[in-house]
Amino acid sequence: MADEISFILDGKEITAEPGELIIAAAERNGVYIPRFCYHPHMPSVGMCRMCLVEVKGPRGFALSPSCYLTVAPGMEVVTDSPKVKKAQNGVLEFLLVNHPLDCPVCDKGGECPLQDQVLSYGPGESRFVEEKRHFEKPIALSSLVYLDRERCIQCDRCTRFASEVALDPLIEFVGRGDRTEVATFPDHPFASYFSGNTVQICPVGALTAKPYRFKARPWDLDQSESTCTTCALGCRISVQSSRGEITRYLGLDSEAVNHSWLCDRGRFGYESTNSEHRIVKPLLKGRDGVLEVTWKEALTKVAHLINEAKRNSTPIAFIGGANFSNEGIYSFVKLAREAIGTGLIDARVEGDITPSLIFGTNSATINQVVSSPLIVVSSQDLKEVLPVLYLRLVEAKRAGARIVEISETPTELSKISERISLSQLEFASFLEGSDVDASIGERLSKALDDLNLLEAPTFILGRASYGGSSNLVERIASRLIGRIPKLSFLHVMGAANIRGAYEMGAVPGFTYGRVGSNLSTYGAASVVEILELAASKETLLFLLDEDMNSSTVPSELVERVRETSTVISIASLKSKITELADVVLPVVAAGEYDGTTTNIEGRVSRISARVTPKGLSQEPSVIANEIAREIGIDLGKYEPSEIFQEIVANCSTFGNLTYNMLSSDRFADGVVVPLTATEVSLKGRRRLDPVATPGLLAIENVGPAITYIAEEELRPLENEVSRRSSAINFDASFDLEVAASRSGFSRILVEKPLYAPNAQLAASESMQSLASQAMAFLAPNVIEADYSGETVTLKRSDGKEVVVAYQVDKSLPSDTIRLRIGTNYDLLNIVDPSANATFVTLGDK
Amino acid sequence: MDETLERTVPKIVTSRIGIEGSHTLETYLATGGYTALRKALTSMTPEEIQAEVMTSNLLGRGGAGFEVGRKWSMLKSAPLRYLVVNGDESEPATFKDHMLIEGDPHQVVEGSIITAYAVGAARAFIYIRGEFALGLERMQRAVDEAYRYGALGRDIFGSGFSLDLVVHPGAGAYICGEETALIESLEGKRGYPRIKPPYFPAVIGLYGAPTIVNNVESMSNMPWIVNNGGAAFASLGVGRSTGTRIFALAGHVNRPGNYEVEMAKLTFRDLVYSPEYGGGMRYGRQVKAFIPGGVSAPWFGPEQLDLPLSQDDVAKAGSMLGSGSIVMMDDHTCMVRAAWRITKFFHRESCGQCTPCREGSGWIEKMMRRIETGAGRESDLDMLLDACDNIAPGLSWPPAQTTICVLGPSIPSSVVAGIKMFRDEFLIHIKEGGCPYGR
Amino acid sequence: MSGFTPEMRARAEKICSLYPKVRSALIPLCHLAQEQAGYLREDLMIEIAELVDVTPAEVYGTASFYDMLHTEPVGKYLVGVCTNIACLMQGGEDLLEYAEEKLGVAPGGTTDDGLFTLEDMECIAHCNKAPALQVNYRFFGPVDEDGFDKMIDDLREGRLADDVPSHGTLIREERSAPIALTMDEVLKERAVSDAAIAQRKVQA
Ligand SMILES: Cc1cc2nc3c(=O)[nH]c(=O)nc-3n(C[C@H](O)[C@H](O)[C@H](O)COP(=O)(O)O)c2cc1C
Ligand code: SF4
Ligand code: FES
Repeated sequence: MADEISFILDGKEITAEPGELIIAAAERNGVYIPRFCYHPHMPSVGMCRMCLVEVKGPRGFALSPSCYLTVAPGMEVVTDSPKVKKAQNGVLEFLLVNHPLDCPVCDKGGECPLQDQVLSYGPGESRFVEEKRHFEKPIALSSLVYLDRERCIQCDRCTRFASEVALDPLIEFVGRGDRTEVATFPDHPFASYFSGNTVQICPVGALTAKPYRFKARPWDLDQSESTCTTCALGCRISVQSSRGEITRYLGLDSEAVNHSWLCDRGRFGYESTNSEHRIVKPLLKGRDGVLEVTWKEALTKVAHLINEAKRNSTPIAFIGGANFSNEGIYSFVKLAREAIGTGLIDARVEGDITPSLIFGTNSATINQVVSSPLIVVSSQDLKEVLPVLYLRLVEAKRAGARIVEISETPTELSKISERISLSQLEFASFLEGSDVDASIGERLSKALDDLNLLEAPTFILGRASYGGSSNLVERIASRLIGRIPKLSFLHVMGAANIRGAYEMGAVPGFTYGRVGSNLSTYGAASVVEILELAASKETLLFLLDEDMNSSTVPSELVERVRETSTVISIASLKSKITELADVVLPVVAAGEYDGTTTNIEGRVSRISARVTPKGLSQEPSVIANEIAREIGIDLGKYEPSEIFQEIVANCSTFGNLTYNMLSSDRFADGVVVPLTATEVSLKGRRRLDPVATPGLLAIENVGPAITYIAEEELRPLENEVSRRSSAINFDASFDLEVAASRSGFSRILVEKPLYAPNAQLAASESMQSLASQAMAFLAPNVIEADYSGETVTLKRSDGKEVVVAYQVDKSLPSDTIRLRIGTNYDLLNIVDPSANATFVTLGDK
Repeated sequence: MDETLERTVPKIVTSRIGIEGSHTLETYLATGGYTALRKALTSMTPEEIQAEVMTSNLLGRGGAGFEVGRKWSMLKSAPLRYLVVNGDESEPATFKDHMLIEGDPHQVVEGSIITAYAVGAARAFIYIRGEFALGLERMQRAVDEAYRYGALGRDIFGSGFSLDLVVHPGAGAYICGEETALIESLEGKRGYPRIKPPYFPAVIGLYGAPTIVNNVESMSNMPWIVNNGGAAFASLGVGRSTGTRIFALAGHVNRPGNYEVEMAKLTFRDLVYSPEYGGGMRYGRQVKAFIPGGVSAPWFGPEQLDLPLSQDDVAKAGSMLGSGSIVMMDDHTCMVRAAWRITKFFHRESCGQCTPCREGSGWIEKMMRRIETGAGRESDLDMLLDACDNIAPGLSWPPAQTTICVLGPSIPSSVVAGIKMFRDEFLIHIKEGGCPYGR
Repeated sequence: MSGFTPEMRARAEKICSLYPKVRSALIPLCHLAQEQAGYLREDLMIEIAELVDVTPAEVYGTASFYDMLHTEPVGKYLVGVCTNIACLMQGGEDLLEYAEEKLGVAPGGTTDDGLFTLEDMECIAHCNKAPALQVNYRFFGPVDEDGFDKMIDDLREGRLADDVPSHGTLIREERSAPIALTMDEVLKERAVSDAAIAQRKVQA
């Protein structure tokens, strides 16, 4: 780079990037300076003093914190003088003054930065003979995180993470001097979606995660690099196991995606893989109840059902699959479209956006979005859908970005954004020229104009309300492009590999490779339409690892399906669906399979198997292939790597990507498809810092997935056309009924919180209790002030109703009800699946 | 005593101390109060005031002794700037600001308004140590009276200059006297000193805006300087040590108290023995050692009694005038106990941010207690010095530091001085298993 | 327990209005809470958090840094005996020992009647009156054993009620003058004067 600056480190001239900290520049140049409080993704505080080096100033060399000072041109830095050594030695000795040195019983023993640095830089033995400070043994900061105060070295990492990275200042330093301890306010636990990160970055064993406590010793751990499959952000992780059980996930420092952070739901979800809720054998429902059967028996039954359906012209349909790997979905798409010949397949159980929107717009990467000076968002609260993206936005904000949020009600993002208070319905009509409140209109126009001035304007777009039609988002996108031609989108979607499902063709009207394909003869296109079909006419329905519990589909519809149709559930965990299915086929869970996945930006990255599948569970591609074989068709490949090469061959957007490349150091963070030049020019991955993420380098026994192979050349796609599907008429007219307000009725806004219950949450022991409670938040005018019931009844004009707990929410505009999905399976029955907006009244007031 | 003492030296900051009702507006006005402010606002530009202060060479009275005028000139220009007056006085045995706050609050207010005008501050805050309940009440009353009198608020004295001033109570933390910790505290946070560089308050201070932090006594000098000119101030004292200064004399003297004297003209001996000041050592005993500028300062022995009360001379001799507190210790004093008590203070007051200070202060305190109570070992002395060296590498003066702020390197001052000057006494404690002095 | 009384709440809001950024009011509000309840009751910390727009944990974390702010109940009179260097020279430690004996509690302890809490204090800047002590931050000194006895008796009998309010009441003077200029007005005014200064510089 032209603007690199040079400085002198231990007598050698080296270069640094402008604004780079001494500690980071030194590390890049092979000089590792010891540290505790410094973390590459948090603001430096220079508190622990471990990283002191000599820096030459106007009055000669002085000890200065290298984690705090940025490199200046010509600066002279010495990291290895006797003075530096003595200071570091001294800091370590001071740290041990009040540290219990209970390493043999400590979870961190063996992967502890304090232990390691004492060995490398320390005094050898402590001269300290006085009494150490004592605290009661571990206390719970929350249901997930425990604190041993005696071990704490006051590095401020957890507290800084909570207040500055996660914006959840629920843990704080309390007291002063060496009486300082980390604490919550009494009875206000550290209830942060991100609490597990504090455990990951604690440089000693002070913070431990309940699911991991006493489960394993570092030297017993094996690890594999992988991708989290909890949501569509696709955070990079290290999956660690001990004696055949998954024991821990650690966030990897992926420059492109998660910057080492994870949300708790992703981090601790592996508990479900180990749980008793797993389905371990194929199940058949017979006259005498449920029977455990062999695979052979189960597959014969499935083939029989398919053959019979075909003979009787019974529709065969597939729903779900967005939690499978690319290879898994691809195989089922082939099974459905090629082996069986049905176009009834849709992975979008959350009613995610239309394929034309995904294929017809330019997509922005996360990094492009967060490095933009202006970030505009219109979607559900990002912290609930894509928690770590929220962290990236907080980071962007700290770096000076301006965030504009268009939303009907305040969200968590509102803390860091300028909120323009507008519903998506109003936003869409505004873009089409309708009037909105003058000052709001002015601010909105200004924000969009500012966006238009940018070289590479981006927009974070997703549904603000679940359930109901998703045409609204498409309409907003098309009008935005009309106004800002260069605009690219980061599409907010929920399920782990939903973006992969689009590319693999598990969406209506498209097969893999973004190739158009006819809709089914039944006219059913979306999940809801397929279910309506199956509820009204006998259908053979495959549910692909989909418990429908956290979906945004009315439960009443699923029950009607059960009465008319035959259900084959391919599932890893017991749920209501597996209870009512005719056939249940056990499928692998996270940590048990190899393959690739695709995140919201289109980033394809590796998933790797760490443990062997539980019981008789099989990979989805194997299940699809075996079913096909049973009906006499050979789908070909079984191995994920082979299937991936077939995918690349069939999907031009994947360019010349190979499975091996994704395992290489350089592309380990994944590669964005459609392949672009920016992606190809990305630098390799950041070296892992054992202090930033203790537990990573400490584990020498590296699992098979980390194979650093020679770099192959990745070639970007040559033209724009191949990246954007030209076949799509994006300006198609919309059949929208923009229902404004209806007197006496309130519009509902449906939100899906992070802890929306599903089979996976129910099977995660430590998180079960966090499942969100279904709740109706009512605008004050919706309910009479003297109403004293504990629940309200919401009624649609066609008579449908649900009973739900409620709260009055003053931040809501008049005549609106915010519905939070939670432990009320029937809540979504109130949503009209075909409309842009559902209106209800309060029954029995 | 030389003849300079006979020369009439004006009382610049303590002229009203001792007058009945000195803290009221009535008395203040009757004794020339607010004439300087009127003069400043109606006949002087901010630059002219700054020039006078520069000429006066007033050294900050908070402890660091930095030229006030120079600090003002370093203030970064920005739309918003603040003035924070440091009345947190907590350095042990320092009690001069306490007296000024209780005895002449209007003088502090007037000085602060003049300063705010000179530096263009958007708002001024007087941060007063929380324990000064009476001082807080009197300062608050003075501010209210000043508003009513027209010296604060909109369009002061018809000059077009407006200012709001807020009296802010601390809540008991010595470290909040350190200017950046003070700012954090004023922002409603834990009193953690900020790392410097780059955060000098004059660049990034309160709410991230350039901020001037000056001591209460520094402020109290402003009315006199404006009225009499910087040159008159500079004509007092010697060299860089100009004007007068309050010395808080405590310990084993007959007349402990605050004495405003011309700088650099008297020696420590003069101050201790002159009947109008210290009146000699208690019970006529000998000086064993003394602390020349607050407990952060290295100790002096009797041989330094003849040093003049000048910032540079004391610095040259290896200590500092610091906060202007002088503690005399007679020959019946146990030096181990004295040093231990001081380390106990620092241990309690360390903010806890940086490892060497947080852990070092506690460790050193424990070692000192062990020696004083009879469980010391000879090797403890080297261990003590080494632990001190790990906080203030080189144990030189002014100290180098491994810490964020200078509280850290203040910890070793008394321990190192104690061991260097009274090693035998430490050894007696160790050999005899306890303190030979009783208590 | 339900937070500030209406009168205290009004004072709290007034304090908040003094600062360009409301969090600055945190410590003054803690003093106010102590004036109402004698210590920082949890409900009061929660209300302060809401007033200054932070979490209760932040109020707690901040308050716990400061010696004068108590998150546990203390006696009506907080008696702090200074033992720092100047008082040490004049028998501060003996006075503390005497106080322990007289009150029957160690430093940090509260008498059974809830009247007195004893503290071993750092320097209270009353060194010319060593050995010195403070009761609810009203200073006494020099104090000898008889003086201490008399003071305790006077406090018990309410004879010092005018001088020493119960624990928590710090500033009995209530600010009467509100803020005269908003920050916006200040900005405008300073812009004018800064421009004048700049012009004078050009001329010079
Ligand atoms: C640990 C520490 C404590 C301090 N305490 C005080 C204090 O109580 N009062 C004070 O005015 N300055 C104190 N200072 C000095 C201030 O940081 C600052 O230099 C001073 O307020 C500036 O005012 P001046 O320039 O008018 O002296 C302290 C400094 C340190 C490092
Ligand atoms: S030196 Fe001590 S008081 Fe100063 S910042 Fe460090 S820990 Fe805090
Ligand atoms: S002070 Fe730099 S790593 Fe802690």
